Amino acid sequence: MIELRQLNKSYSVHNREFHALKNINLHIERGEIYGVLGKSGAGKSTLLRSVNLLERPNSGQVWVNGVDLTTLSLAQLREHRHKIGVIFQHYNLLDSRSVFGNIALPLEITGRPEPEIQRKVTELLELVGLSDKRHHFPAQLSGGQKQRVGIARALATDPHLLLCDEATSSLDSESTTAVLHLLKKINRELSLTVLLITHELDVVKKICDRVGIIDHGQLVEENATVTIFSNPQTKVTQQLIQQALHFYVPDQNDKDSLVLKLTFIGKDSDEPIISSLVKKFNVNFNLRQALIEKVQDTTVGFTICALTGEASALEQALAYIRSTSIKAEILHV
Amino acid sequence: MYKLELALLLKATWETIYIVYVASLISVIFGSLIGTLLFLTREKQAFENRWLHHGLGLLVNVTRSIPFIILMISIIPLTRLLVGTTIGSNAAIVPLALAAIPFYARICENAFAEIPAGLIETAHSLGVTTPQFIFKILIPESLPALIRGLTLTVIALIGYSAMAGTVGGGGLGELAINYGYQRFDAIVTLETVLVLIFIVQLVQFAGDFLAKRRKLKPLVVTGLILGLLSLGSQIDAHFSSQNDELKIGITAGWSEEVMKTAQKIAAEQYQLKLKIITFNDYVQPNTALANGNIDGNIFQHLPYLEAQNKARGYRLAPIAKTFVYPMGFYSRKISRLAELKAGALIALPNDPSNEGRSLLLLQKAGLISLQPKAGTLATLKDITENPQHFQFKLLDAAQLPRVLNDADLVALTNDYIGAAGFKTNQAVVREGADSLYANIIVVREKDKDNPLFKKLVAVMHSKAVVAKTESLFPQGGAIQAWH
Ligand SMILES: Nc1ncnc2c1ncn2[C@@H]1O[C@H](COP(=O)(O)OP(=O)(O)OP(=O)(O)O)[C@@H](O)[C@H]1O
Ligand SMILES: [Mg+2]
Repeated sequence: MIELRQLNKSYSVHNREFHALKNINLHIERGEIYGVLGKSGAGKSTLLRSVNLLERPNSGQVWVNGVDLTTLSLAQLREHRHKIGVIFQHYNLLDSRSVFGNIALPLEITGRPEPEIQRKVTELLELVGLSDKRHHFPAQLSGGQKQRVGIARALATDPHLLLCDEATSSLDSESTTAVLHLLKKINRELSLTVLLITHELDVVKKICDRVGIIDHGQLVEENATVTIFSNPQTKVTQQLIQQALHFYVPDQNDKDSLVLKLTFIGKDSDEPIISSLVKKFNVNFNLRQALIEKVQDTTVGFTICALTGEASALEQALAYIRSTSIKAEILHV
Repeated sequence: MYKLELALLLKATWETIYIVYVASLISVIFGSLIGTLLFLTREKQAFENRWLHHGLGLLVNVTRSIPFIILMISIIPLTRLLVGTTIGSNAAIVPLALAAIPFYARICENAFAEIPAGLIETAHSLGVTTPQFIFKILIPESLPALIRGLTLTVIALIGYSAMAGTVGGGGLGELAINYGYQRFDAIVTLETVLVLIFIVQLVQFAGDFLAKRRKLKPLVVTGLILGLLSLGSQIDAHFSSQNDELKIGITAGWSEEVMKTAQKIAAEQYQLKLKIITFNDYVQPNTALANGNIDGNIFQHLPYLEAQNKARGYRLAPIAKTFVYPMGFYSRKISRLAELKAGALIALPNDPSNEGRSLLLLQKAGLISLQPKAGTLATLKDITENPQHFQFKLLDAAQLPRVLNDADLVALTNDYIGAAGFKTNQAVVREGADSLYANIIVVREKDKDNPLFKKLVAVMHSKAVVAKTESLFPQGGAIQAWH
């Protein structure tokens, strides 16, 4: 569906080159929700804007639906943009138009006849649950409602690809959940491909099938969402997850203990591993933190505990854990 | 003193509305074109072009920095080219529009620039064409700012129109200058200022209202209504001189007496209503006539009219002569021309117009010859033959009566004959009915054949008016020039 090949983008600011994107290679399947995660300034927005060529890359190719957009004329590009919906963090609705008018805009631009516009907008209002706000103006809507108008507008021309730049970053958690639900729903019902950009792990956790981590303009890691959560490979990803989940950090109390972070995936979390450790190896156990995260439909559990006891006993216990499917990470010895 | 009539105030108000409306319309059309181009040639916009952007920006800035009064004067040739005259409402519109176009262009550009970058990006992500971008995004989104800017422009134009009025552009400004300032009539000035304040308030109110509505439709409707109104004012102006009423400009003094008689005759015998407008100088009666504030004037002679037409671009034409108020040469030393000795001293007025007039009279009497080309503006230098070696002395007209004891021959205009103790028929030499300097009835060229003015001519040539004039200027002081 989307394939970015060797994408490079640099800005020159005060005559100094700044590499915002470095050799990005990315492949997104049809019907997938792909999340791009990264710190502020990592290059997420730049990446997203490259996909519909709002930002022209210095080099590389942008294949969308089998066409390399970088080779198109402006007129051809306009045609393709009609098939790529975009949702923005700040909604970017036209103040001069009502809810109806905003959603109708892309249809007007593509020259649809009036009855079709009426029908289509009514349908979309239904879909995003704003039928009663048809004649309201953006100034009269809440943030979540505005974003739903934004989504309806992005869907108006039946796009095959939806780009979301921090679509929920300005919303409270309730509206965020509602908007994410909506995205998931349209992804399923309209089999829409979604490229979603965020700095919030929560968003990724809830709806993304796969995640790419971008750092300093480079795509440093890419995997299924569960795997990213349970088994992050790079320092950057680990940090991101650490920050998002507020993992316990060993301190004075853990002077003489072995601090472990155990990660359970799916059914693993049901196993009574800790009680068996205590029984089998004669070690003392102090729970420091326990978290259960629902990533898409899979449960990922994190337990951070401090074990004390004989050195050999501790070693045996560790070996035992490693023999199971549970992932153990030593935070402190 | 002349009292301002409501009709005159209304007419001036209409004129102002007409001038401001048309100038605003032109400024909006061209201003938004240039403003849009200025915006679209900016960095990252559809027609990004640094040279065009900066070139256009410079042009706009230059035009904007020229003071209006200088702009108005310096584009006189352009104005004449476009509307064929440099006075009157239509001529005022040209400099007004030219001043307001760059003003509104900047307002548009700034209004467009206020649109959040995100919105512009959104538009492009939707795949808009440039016309769609302009008409679906740029204009609707900046409409309140555009309307507020338009309000600002219209109000500035009202102010400028008053300035244009002072140089013959018509409207309230001219009224204030002609009838208020020139004649120290504080009431007139106050009235025009009040009307101007009222109009400005109205525009501001309408602008605020429309800006709040954010809709194009009420704006267009308002524009159309105003358009019809101002068109109405033009039609009104067109028909007002078709009424059986004429406004006649004269200068203060004895003419007022004569015109009282004329008014009576006109009303009684010709069913014609004459309104007499009195001026205190020799410039305003022509200005007022040229831009339609009056319908005719009776105060000048042909050489003066021709000079004014030439200098100011008026299109005024004489339709009939009235009286010659003859200039003559008077003397306390001789009583007949034959007595004049060779080498005699002749005193002449020193203003160019009367100097020429007196020299022409000497030539007519056969005393000297003049360069034929010199015409009515002949000076002493144009004397080609002076066989009797007369000496000439140029003096201020008011000083001439005092040199009667020293000079052999002194040229006196009508105003000074009495003061010098003479009667007109005592002149040694004087102008006759065929004088070039007969007073004339002057109208706008296009009204030349209007039958109403035929009536006016008849009134001015009527027995009663003649009798009245001759009673004021006895013993040949006023000679009928139309026979
Ligand atoms: N037009 C530009 N000119 C110069 N530098 C730019 C421009 N746009 C972006 N950058 C730089 O590129 C880098 C990536 O910007 P980008 O907007 O993609 O970050 P981001 O990952 O979306 O951050 P955030 O989460 O804060 O939105 C930043 O360091 C930014 O300063
Ligand atoms: Mg961003």
